[in-house]
Amino acid sequence: MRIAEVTAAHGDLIAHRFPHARDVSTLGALYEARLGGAGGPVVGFGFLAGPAPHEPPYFRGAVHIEPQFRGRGHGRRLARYLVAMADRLGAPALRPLEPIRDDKSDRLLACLGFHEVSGSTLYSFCIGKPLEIASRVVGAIDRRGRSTDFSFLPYEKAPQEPVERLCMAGFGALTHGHMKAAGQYAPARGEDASQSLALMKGNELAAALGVVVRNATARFDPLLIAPKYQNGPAFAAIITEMCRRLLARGVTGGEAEIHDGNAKMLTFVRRLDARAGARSRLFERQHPNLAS
Amino acid sequence: MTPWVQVHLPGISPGALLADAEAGRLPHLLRLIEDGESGRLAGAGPGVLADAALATGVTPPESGLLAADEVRADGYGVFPATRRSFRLPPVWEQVAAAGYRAAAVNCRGTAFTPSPPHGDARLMIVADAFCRIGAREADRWAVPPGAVLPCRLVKALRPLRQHPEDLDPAAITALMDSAPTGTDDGMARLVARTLCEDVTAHAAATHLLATYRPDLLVVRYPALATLANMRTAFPDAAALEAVAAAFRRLLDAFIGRIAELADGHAMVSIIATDAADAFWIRHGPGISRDGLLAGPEDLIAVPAALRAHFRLGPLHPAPQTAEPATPPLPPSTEQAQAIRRTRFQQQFYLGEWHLAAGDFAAALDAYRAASSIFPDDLPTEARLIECLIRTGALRAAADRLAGTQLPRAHPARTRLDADLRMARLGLR
Repeated sequence: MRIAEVTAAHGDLIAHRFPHARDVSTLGALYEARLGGAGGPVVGFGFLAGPAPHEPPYFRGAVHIEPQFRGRGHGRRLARYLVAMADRLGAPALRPLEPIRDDKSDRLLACLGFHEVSGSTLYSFCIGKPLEIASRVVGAIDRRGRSTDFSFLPYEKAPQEPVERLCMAGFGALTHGHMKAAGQYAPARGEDASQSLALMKGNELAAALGVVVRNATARFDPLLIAPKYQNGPAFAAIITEMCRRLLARGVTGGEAEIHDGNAKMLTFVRRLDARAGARSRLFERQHPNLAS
Repeated sequence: MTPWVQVHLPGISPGALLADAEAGRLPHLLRLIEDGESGRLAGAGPGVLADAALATGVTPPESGLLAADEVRADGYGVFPATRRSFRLPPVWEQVAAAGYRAAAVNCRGTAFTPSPPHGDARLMIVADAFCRIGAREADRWAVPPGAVLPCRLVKALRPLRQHPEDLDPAAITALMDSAPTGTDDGMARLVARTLCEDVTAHAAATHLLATYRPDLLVVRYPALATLANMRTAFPDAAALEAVAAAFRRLLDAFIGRIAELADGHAMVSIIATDAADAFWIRHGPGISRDGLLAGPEDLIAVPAALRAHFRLGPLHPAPQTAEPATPPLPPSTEQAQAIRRTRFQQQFYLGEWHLAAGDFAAALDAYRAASSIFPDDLPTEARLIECLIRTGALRAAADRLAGTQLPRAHPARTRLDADLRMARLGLR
């Protein structure tokens, strides 16, 4: 197999073979793998992108093998090439372009030196349940006569810089839910992100919650709460308002991907009688020199 | 074949260079001037157009490189110009294709240069992306993909890079000690970054020159252009000039080292460019002492001489690379805005080049294209009206001037009013 870097000539293929390159803020390199010599058939492509100076320093890579050439070990060879290239370039770490959503590639990833750094599980629940729990908290605050003085803004009207800062601090990247809620990514057909909310205290951002509704099910993006408002009523206030609005629009089902390490949210989700579904995992491979 | 070493110094005005050289502050450049030929050339406009002209030997519109950024190949926003921008191979690729060993260091539009079909031993590329500081911490600074060709050079070149974190504070003090008081950390950081980028380029260039003895080495030291672009980081013009003077002395030392490594047998070609003007120094075998270059010529004379030196045949630009088709996932709104800004800048710079070249009809087309992207941009509006006047479309110019958003007291408007009156009187 012959592998060559073809970004200048065929870089437009990146968007077609690796659409999630949209999330990467630098132009990645496209590697073309051909069987035999330069004139042989193209079996697949590799993608490798470095970070922008302000981003976490890991590279991101992906492999795409054309359907008719799958199952013959070409993907493994191309992945090895990308890993070797990232090492040669001095990448402190390498991560797959997208989280891994199945266990098919576990052996390959382990063999290449990747290890799981985090995982999350998708939970499904009825919207009425979080509304019931959160509104109880809000009611208790009201009964004590304590005013929260919160106001709500459509997500995209909220000051974007603090929202982005919270998102970067929590996840190291701007999530798809945030990008859709902020109006940066156009929602796919049948999706509606207009219910996304920001919770404000005066002119200050307290919390933000992106929600994408599809087929009467709301997909909740991770809740962003400013450090100052954590452990306070902001959580209950934004969940209550969001669920009320969703129910008023006939949205009864909810989904949220909860990070394995987020003990607080996992406890909350257990109280919702939520059903655990698909898992997605984040893998990383450290540069051999740094790993040792 | 006599080797050819070319050093490009963007952002240095010929006047400042000559004044410093004559005052003895740039001893290496003065020696090259006295022992070789030198002279002024016409400038190519915005810095990126000079880079394009020197790289390709054709006019900027033919070269394809029109702005510092290009629309990303995948359509997701913009990225500093890569090899994809060029519509024809830069001179270093042509020289390599002709069978010589060629190297380009820190030249614009060199990232993602493809491996040549004849194998990659003859062509060595250290792209501008290699020298750009890519991480806040030195130990996390990786080489970006596509920044070095052939890839095996990465091992030797990586440790040669200079990161601001590793910089001896004395080096910064030395560059800033003549700056007036009141300079701040922001300025020091800018100076450190600029210094590191040029030091990295110099380290790579001298490594390639000493190790591989290429027939052609082209290196670009953009420190002065970087400082000029960031002039707002300086408290005043005097502070900027003090740092610029120190950088000129540093670049003179770099040139001294390059000339020393070239060993007196190579043709050494130094080009200093700013928007309005350029200065060319040639030194080497067959070049007369203290000679004056025949002028006035434009910047294309430099790559033309290089092409003649290597006896390269004519080349014809390929059609402009097609814009990427709409990607399956549309770009974000921010990416789409960045694409519009870059397309605007490309058209505006194209207009500037045609205007400077006196081709008012072509300039008018370019400004119209720019104006269709950002109709409210006042400098474009002013240029558009100027071109209408110059092409004799006085009625259209008057109509446009009547409906313009340019304030009445705006200097451009006052000048355009006067131009229009003069044109109507047949005085221009």
